[in-house]
Amino acid sequence: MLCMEENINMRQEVIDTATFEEMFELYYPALVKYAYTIVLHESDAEDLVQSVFTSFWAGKGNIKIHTSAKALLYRAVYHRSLNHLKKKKATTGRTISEWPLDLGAEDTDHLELHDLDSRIGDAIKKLPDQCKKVFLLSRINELKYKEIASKMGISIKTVENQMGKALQVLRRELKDYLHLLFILINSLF
Amino acid sequence: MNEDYNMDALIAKYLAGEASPEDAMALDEWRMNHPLNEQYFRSAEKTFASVGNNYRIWQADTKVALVQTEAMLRQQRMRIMWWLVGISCALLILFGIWRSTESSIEKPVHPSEYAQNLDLEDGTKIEVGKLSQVQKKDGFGTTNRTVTLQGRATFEVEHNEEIPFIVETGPLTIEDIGTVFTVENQPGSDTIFVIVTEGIVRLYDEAGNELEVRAGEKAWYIKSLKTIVADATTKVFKFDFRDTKLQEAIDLISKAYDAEIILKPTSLGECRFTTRFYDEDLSTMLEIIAETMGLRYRVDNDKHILQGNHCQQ
Repeated sequence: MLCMEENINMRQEVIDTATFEEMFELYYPALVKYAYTIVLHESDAEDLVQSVFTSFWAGKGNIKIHTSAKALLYRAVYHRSLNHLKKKKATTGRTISEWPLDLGAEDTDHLELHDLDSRIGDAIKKLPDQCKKVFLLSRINELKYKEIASKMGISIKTVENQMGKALQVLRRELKDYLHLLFILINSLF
Repeated sequence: MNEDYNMDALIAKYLAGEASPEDAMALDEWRMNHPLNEQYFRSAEKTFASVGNNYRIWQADTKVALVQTEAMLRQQRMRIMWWLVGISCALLILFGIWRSTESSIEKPVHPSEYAQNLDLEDGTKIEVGKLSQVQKKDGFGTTNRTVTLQGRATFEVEHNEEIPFIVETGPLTIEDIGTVFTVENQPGSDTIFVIVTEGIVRLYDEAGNELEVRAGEKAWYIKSLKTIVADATTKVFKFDFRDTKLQEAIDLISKAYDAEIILKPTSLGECRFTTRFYDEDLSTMLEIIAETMGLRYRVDNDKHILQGNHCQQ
């Protein structure tokens, strides 16, 4: 894999169709996944990544690539995804700061858990308070890290670490249960 | 694995849509480094997806996406090509306007807007096609008989041993040796067509390529390859019927194309008609005759039949 990446690491090299297909097959799945984490919409994520590939390829004769193709593609997908979100929010007339929620510390228990499976609810209850609050603000209220940090008066780095910790604990707690749950969730789509 | 990262925090950051491109690349690299890493990520992703409603685990179909993307690229290239064609046309028009206002040693013989028949002072007749232009060189008729051509024109040249009639079109020069010939050099085309109806012409270019083309022969000049290609296998027929009896015309056409043409009833042969055919195939000509004279045309066992009740001309 690394060998192929080196081959595709273009520094003003001639790119042919075969390379395009190799690059597409190598990077498309990961780029779509990355775009999806930002836009949270499957077909939008696919459209965005495909448009990145087409503009990248159509303009290959006019641009000088001073970095790896991989980095270029990831950056393009990132910026397009953010722009897409901005446009979408402009269309719906909502901005991140207007998204519903004013959650105090005392409210986090209340959030819990009526919509969640009891096993998951139990696992979340076991999280340390700050960790639990950060995680629920992110997952249930869909706040960005910056908003969580601002709301809780902590640094973004702390939010990152608390989210990592929450995910680690929950993964461990739900290890045996997630497989079944995942089958159930997928059967609903 | 990149030791600078707390992988749980990085995975959470990625799944939460907070990862920078560098974060995402680092995570993807870590996932590819070992199957256990990938397994760990998938397990964390399931955990993440199990809380909240905005994240779904799914997988894109790369093969379908590749086909879609290649189709988009083709469409994009077509759009670019049409833009370039448009820009080229605009530049050509601007160039034409500029040339028409410039005082030039070449005097325009024909404006490009309409097809027109021209009689030059040396007796040469030119049928200039639509959107085509012929220009005489300075000194035409005295020191030279050279014209330049853009587009299509048929030349019926009054031969002059001392001053040959010469057509310059792009990189190709056509010199008459007593002849009727057609030259077509359309803007944007890589090919110049030359069809000789009567006599002989000599083609040559600056690269030293040279070819004589005789009556009934065609030749192509491929600009990009600087090559003259002769086609002596396809004969070119020209018919000029002016108030001609249909039977006489049919006899001529039958002989030229070695085809059996039947008139039903034979009395139709007395009908007269006027028309010209140039390098047309047999069926097209007979369909035109039938249409012109109110007849029906069909082919039956290689016999070409023109049928009708009476002359409608």
